[in-house]
Amino acid sequence: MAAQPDFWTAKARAALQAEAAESDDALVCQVAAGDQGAWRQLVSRHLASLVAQAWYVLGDRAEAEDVAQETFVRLMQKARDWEPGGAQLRSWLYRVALNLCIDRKRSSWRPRPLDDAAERSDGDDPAGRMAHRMDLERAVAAALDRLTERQRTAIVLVHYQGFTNYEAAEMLDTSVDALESLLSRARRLLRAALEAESGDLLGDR
Amino acid sequence: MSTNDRSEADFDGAITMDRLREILDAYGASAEKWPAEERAPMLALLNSSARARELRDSACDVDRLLDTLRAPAPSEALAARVNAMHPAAPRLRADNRRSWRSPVPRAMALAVSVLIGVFIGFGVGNYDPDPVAERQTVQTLPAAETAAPRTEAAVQGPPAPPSIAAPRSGSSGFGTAPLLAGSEAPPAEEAEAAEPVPLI
Repeated sequence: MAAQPDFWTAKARAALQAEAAESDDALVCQVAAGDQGAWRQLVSRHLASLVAQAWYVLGDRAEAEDVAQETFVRLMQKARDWEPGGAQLRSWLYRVALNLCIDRKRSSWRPRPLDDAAERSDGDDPAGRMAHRMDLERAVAAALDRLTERQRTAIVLVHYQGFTNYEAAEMLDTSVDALESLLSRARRLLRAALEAESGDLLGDR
Repeated sequence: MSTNDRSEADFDGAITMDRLREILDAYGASAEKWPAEERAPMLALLNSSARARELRDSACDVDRLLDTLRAPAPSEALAARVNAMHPAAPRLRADNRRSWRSPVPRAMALAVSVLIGVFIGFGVGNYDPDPVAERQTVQTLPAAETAAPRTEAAVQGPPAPPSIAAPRSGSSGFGTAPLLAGSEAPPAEEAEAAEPVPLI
């Protein structure tokens, strides 16, 4: 059974807050004490990235938002037992979200819907460029969907989420060498799948 | 060898073209995504080698393709829902949930349910589901017996349906027998005389 956070004495909490008032750890401490402002700060810091990560993995906006919300529910449940100085909150959140995504992906996979892309198109894009961009987004999304789960996750963690090689390897429970192998293979497959489109669609660079 | 233990000490400040290619193949052309300890030697090699720059440009293509896919921002409704989760007193809520996980309240709830079930069972056992059957029993008795006071038939109660054995003195069950036990039980001959005649 997890030990109750008796070590979270007021003194330790105050010292932590003094040292890193803006750190995730400090905010989780405040959340554990019922601080709504700290909760909002954590939401502001991580919600968009969590939705993005889930969307890159699942390809569905509604499901991505469900995953992000469920991740915050888990955080709220975890807040009282959070150990400052232990695992980084960011890594913990993204690992939880990743596991939720994998569960959903395994239970009900379906092709990535592309209406999200249409919603995000720039209003001032000329029609031709917008159509090209949407074609390219569809092609990239389809190519990502054809990767294995671990290859896609590696790309999402490193390319889209900006995790370091060590962080991503730890989240995938593998070595940095294995991570590099996953990334190289994934990028080669993406290049091969998109070669036809990329010459045309990236020709405007 | 696992490179999880890689550190800056593993690098002597130089990097081979093969390693540069491996890094570009894996992490792309963006320097901030490269392994931190190899970033400086990578940049040095790129500055000095045209071939290295060609490799980097090639890696750029895949980066550009990936960058075309932009995740949607969270909806305002989601942000409102998550912000509205109130972190106040999470311990209280957790304790409430935990209290129902302990066996004591569950056992109490089960005991109350069983008691209610037993009371309902007694009620159903004493319930006369078919008054017509009682009338038929009375009609099949001999005339002398039918002339007996109505109270005897009333004390005996209705006969059990054919599929259920009529409770006798000393038998168990939820029929009328328990009500006739003890000091309230009639004398043996009275009980025999009052025994209902089975329906044919």
